[in-house]
Amino acid sequence: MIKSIHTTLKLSLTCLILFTWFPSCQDLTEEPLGLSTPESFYNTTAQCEAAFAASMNALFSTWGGYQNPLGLPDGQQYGSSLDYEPNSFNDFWSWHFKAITNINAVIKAVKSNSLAGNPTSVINDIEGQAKFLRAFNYFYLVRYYGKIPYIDEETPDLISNPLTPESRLEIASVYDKIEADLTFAAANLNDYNPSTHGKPNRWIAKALLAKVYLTRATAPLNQKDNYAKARDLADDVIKNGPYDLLPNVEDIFKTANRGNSEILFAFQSSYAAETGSEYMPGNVWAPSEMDGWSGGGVIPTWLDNFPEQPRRASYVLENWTADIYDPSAPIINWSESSDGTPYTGKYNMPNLTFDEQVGGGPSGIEIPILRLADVYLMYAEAANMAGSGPTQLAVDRINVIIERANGGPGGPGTEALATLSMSQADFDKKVIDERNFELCFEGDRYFDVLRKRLLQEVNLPDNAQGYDENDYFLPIPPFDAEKIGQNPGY
Amino acid sequence: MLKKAPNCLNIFFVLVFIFNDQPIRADSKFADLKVTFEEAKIITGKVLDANNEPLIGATVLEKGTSNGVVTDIDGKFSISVDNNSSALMISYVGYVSQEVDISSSNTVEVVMLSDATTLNEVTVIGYGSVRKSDLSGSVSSVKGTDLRELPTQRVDQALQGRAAGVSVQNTDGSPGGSTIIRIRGGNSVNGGNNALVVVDGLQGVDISTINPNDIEAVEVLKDASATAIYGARGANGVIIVMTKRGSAAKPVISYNFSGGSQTLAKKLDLLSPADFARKANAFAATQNGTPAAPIVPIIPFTESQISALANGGGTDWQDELYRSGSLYNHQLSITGGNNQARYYVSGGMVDQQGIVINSQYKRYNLRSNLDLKVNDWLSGGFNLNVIKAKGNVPPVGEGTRFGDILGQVINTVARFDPVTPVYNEAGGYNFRALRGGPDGSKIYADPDVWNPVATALETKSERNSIINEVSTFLDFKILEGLTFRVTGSAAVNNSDNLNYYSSKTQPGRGAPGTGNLSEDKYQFYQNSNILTYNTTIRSNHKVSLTGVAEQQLNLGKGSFISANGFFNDLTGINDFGGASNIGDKSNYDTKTVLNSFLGRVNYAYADKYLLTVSARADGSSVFGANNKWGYFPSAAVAWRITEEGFLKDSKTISNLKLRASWGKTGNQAIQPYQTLGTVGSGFNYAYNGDGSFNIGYALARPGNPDLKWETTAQSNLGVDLGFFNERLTAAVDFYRKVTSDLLLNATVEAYTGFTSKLANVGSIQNEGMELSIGATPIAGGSFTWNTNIVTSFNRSKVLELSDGASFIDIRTNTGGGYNIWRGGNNSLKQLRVGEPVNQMIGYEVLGTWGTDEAEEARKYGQAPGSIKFKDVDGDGRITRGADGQQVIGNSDPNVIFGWNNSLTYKGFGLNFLLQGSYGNEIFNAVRIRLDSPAYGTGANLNNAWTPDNQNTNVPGFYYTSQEINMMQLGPSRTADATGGADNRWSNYVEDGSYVRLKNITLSYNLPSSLLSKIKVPKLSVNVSGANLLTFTNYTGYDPEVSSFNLRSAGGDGIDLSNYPSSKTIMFGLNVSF
Repeated sequence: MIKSIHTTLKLSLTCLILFTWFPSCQDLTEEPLGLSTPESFYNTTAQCEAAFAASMNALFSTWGGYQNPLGLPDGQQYGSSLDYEPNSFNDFWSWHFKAITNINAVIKAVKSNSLAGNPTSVINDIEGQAKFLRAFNYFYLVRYYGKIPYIDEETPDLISNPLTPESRLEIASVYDKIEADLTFAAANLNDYNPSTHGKPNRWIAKALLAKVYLTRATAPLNQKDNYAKARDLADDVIKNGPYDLLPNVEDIFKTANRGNSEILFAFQSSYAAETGSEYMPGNVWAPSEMDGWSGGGVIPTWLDNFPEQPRRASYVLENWTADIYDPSAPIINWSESSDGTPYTGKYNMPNLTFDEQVGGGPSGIEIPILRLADVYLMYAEAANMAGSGPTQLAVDRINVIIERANGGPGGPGTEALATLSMSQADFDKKVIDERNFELCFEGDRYFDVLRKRLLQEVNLPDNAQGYDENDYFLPIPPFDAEKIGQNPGY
Repeated sequence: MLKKAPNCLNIFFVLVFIFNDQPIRADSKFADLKVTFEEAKIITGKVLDANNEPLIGATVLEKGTSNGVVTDIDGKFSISVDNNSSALMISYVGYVSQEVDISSSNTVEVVMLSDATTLNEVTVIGYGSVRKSDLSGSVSSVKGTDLRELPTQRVDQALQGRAAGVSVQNTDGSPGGSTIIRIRGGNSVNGGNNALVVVDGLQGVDISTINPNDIEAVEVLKDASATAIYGARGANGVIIVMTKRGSAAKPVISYNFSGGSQTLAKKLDLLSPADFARKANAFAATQNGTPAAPIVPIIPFTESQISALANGGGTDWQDELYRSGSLYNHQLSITGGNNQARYYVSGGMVDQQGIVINSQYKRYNLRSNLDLKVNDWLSGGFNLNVIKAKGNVPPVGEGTRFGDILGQVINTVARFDPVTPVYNEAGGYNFRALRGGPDGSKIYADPDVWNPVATALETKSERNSIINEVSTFLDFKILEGLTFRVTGSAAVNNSDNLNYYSSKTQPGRGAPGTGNLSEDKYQFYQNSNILTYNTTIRSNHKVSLTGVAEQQLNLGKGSFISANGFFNDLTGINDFGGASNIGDKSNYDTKTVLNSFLGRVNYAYADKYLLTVSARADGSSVFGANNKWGYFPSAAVAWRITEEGFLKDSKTISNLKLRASWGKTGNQAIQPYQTLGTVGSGFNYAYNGDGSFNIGYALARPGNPDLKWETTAQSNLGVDLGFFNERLTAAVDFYRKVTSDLLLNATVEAYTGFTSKLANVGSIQNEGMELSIGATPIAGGSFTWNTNIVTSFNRSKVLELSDGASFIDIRTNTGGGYNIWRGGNNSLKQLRVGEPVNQMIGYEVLGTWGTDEAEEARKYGQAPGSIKFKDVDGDGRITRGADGQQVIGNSDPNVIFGWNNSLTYKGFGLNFLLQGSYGNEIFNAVRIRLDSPAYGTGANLNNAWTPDNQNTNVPGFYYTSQEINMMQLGPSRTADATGGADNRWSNYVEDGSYVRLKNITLSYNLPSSLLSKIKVPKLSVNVSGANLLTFTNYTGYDPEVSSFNLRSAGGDGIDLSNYPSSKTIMFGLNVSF
């Protein structure tokens, strides 16, 4: 009897252990303590801006992204070619989509009230920055690749839901979305703040939107009603914005003048080599004799057309020291150098100090993306093409740029000014040529070449082998093309 | 109360309380004893083994009752039995049980015969045990006494050559260094290939920390039938270790001491200082410019300098760096007990001074195993294991944490200039090679290589760890045959490491001083609840059921910080405040939960037909949200043919068993939180534009809720054979393992914003055969000889990689002039679909160009004396893509083997183990620099090409630069393979086969007649040696070498200067009271 009670007790205890002890003790759901997940991040404006910083890091980091000469066949850079392979320029695709993924994560979080508790204006500014940056990235992608998938905060998880060819929007639809984002940004971003001049503000959004309109007005869409929109927005930025042209052409790219009043938006880098800083080494674009990596060569025939004027010496390097480490070394012409081409001048001495130039350390170079001179020329182009020919204001605005390039009124430069009597076509060509020189090595010429259909022309006589119409769009990376299809010709 | 208790261990204590609360009843059996006491008689006796040594702890039972005692330290016993009892049953593990007649005498002396059959021995398997004869899976057993033969006090090393299918490589000879253990080959690329080690039920123990003196036996579970019970942790095999436990006998105190010395097993064959100087002169003489622009060569050494070097000058760096090390080991244990409580307590200390200066290791260990019998239905136990280890080893192997092999001692000791003295005249180090020539400016030796003595002495590299393992268990005997065991175990381990490279070392030279600190804390909790039911139905159906519910909790925490620019080298890393820069810093905090349910059925019909079926379900927190649970089934059948009528009475065949099994096991290869998408730092950018950077956080990796365990499906066919009452036994096993769902990085579309995701793709296959033979050729009388041979053959093959990729590069290089890794199909080690895991890829070297081949050589832009590569595609040039893709070696052996012998004659014992491998190849990367004409120091350079010595693989430096210029060779068309760009040359691949006298021990048990005079019951002395003889053609330090990828697949068989192995000679003493 006693025994059976004990047996019962033992059995029931055994069951108790098995059924209550187990498996209530530990849950299988993971809650990381030392790791941030998309669900636990983007809760402060600083976290959101950290995502924006990362999105720019995808495009511009030490020895990475747009720091390096890109090799695009824009008629300026030496060594470029129109012999495209399916994997040519695949990096651009990855850079921009990496940036967009990080921006979309912020928009998604903000839309689900992750910033609740902040003033509406602060939240709107964050959303404005996100939308500006997203539009900025898609603007590059749509110009490089044409029909692209448009991924935004609503797109289902792409790892488990691969895209299909149907996900690629028509080019005009992509522009519609870019315009919507920039319109929101122009209305909601903060005003210019000199202490954070690198961040997007409403004037930068307007200037970029003006360029979007101008691009839409030209190839491949050629929707000419956009010229007027571009003209009016450029005018707004010039007249009402906080930016001013520097009077002296030699001052614009001096690293001492970083963030000057002419720069709207740029690829920024740190000046100091602190641990964790992403900076631009001073020798990225330098010739071999100047401690360089032979990356910033310029096509000699392009230089043939560059007018003789003070601007040329500041923007292009034609003569340099035979050994930057030897103060007594002679100055040599590019034709005597080991690389045998002229070089980019904007990002080399004398715009840099010696210490910034050599050794691969931080130089503080900023590569402009939007500059007031660009906006002046956008105005001139748009005003000319919106009507039936040049207007006085259009002529004045291009001539401001030309006169400065010539060294001011009465300066030594020989470039002819534009006149009101020029035909619409001549004036348009004058503006595009002026953009070619004024904005050289700033990454913009390639897009002018695309939208003005100059690809074959600028690559003649040496680099146009393999040219065909399909070269106006770059090949989609083959691994992605398996899912969404390839551009024609690849 | 039970329901509310949040903590498992609390419940455990509550249970203990409840059960202890039960009054202990006067059992009817005790009552019976009392009644019969009057009619008892006392039997005394002694139990001895065949050598007339007393058997301690043998069980003596009154036949037909449970009345019993055990023998004491002298093998003596005294038992009170019923007057009518006619016999005693004497039993002892490993011996044939005997029935002894006591009807005529009250004193007996019993000689027990060793039970060679061992078939009735109990083998421990996962969550239980079975009679060896009932095993249907593939299990190798190693006795604790065998493991103690190796004097180095390491279980992992001692397992080498002992068990078929178990490959142990001592790839790192440093004190406290690591070994690679693979059971039936490696399954995983990224997931780790180390076997699960289970010590007394506690899972996941680091095998290198177990004190071999505490081990009773080791079982290695190999096939899926044996390992599937460990589910998601079982894919790499399971090593089960049982530690010693006390027996109900009077206390026995044992003290073991061993001590001895260790020396470098083999010196590298390097140029003597004078030969080096001559070679430097000869090489310098070839540097005479061109006919158009002649240069007068600067000769670094004069004849008188060379003759001074020949007369004892210069430096033998190996003599400076290596020393005679020492190894001391003290172990003390006490064991004993009574029917209620039994104990085994041991403590020990190992103190090792390594053969490289400034390398040492100390380990203190304490173990306490207690067994308590509360009453006839409840017993329990408590195990405690505490280990404290402390070591210091200068940078070896892959080099410093800073990735520069030039600051690594074992590499630079071979490469450093033998002319330069260790110290300069002022008493400081010559950090780099001196220069020669008339004005002392001529570089003649590798100018970057750092003084290895300075590296060894001026680096602090401390490794401290403390391991605490506690496990408790309660056994309930619920009904006849039904038992329930509850265990609660915990391991709490701490380690902290310190590295400091002073300003006198290569990594710390400019900083000045650089170092890092790390601390790691690991906690592991395990609760297993095991229900076992054994019954026999109608005498022929034996059934054993096991059901287990288990949970494991793993907590990890740690931090790392590095700094440089120290104000004071003496305080260094210990004064962080003195650092001018903080470098990398990181920490982590992780938690892993594994909840499991498992069951097993063992069924035997008439002891002939055996069936085992098991299944386990593992729920793991590290698996993706969609795959939290994994299921691991297995089944095995066996047929004991010797139990059939036609063999039952065979005098020849004593055992014949066929076994077949199949099952699935897992590898929980995923790290905690790896299935979650993360946002990570490290993507900074000057966003504000004010010249300083802003912190950037990017989406670091995509989540993958589908991520799961790697699955290994294994089938096994085996035969067990025994002849002549098991004096000759053999076991053969054939197996095939296919591991699928390998955890690899799969490319994802770039539009996702990511480049790759971790996914379950790819598979690897291993198949092989194992054979073990055991024999007792001589037995009985005063001389016995036991011998056994184990051999294993394993072949691996990559079946599939991610996304149809045809190869994966295995990273194997850290720089320092060794170009054996470039990525993109250009690494020495690649996993290639359809090919073996461990093969090497590179250029085939055919030799050197001969003088009669000058014209042919010229087509490649080369002169006679240059290396001649095979132009595989015949395009007249040697290119990486076409010609650098040859299979040039395979580091997997065709066969590994061990031959163990034990001979005893009276009090003497001789035990030795020969062990080795055949057919494996080693890429001797060290030679890349040693054989280099300009700065090389290897003796191979004495065999460099000359017109008189053309049959050689060592390139020449015979023609002067003017002569070569006049040959008008044109540009070199072997650009990829020469000029330091790519060193994956087949001439560095060497045969790594070896046979080694792993250990030999001669012991002597002092006779009891002598010992009784000094009142010591047992005393034995021994002399032992490890690695005394090695037969190999390999020219590096040791054929057991692997410098890369200890955990994962593919990095084996590359020698880039690991800590070399040593020869050990020890004297030992064992005393028992």
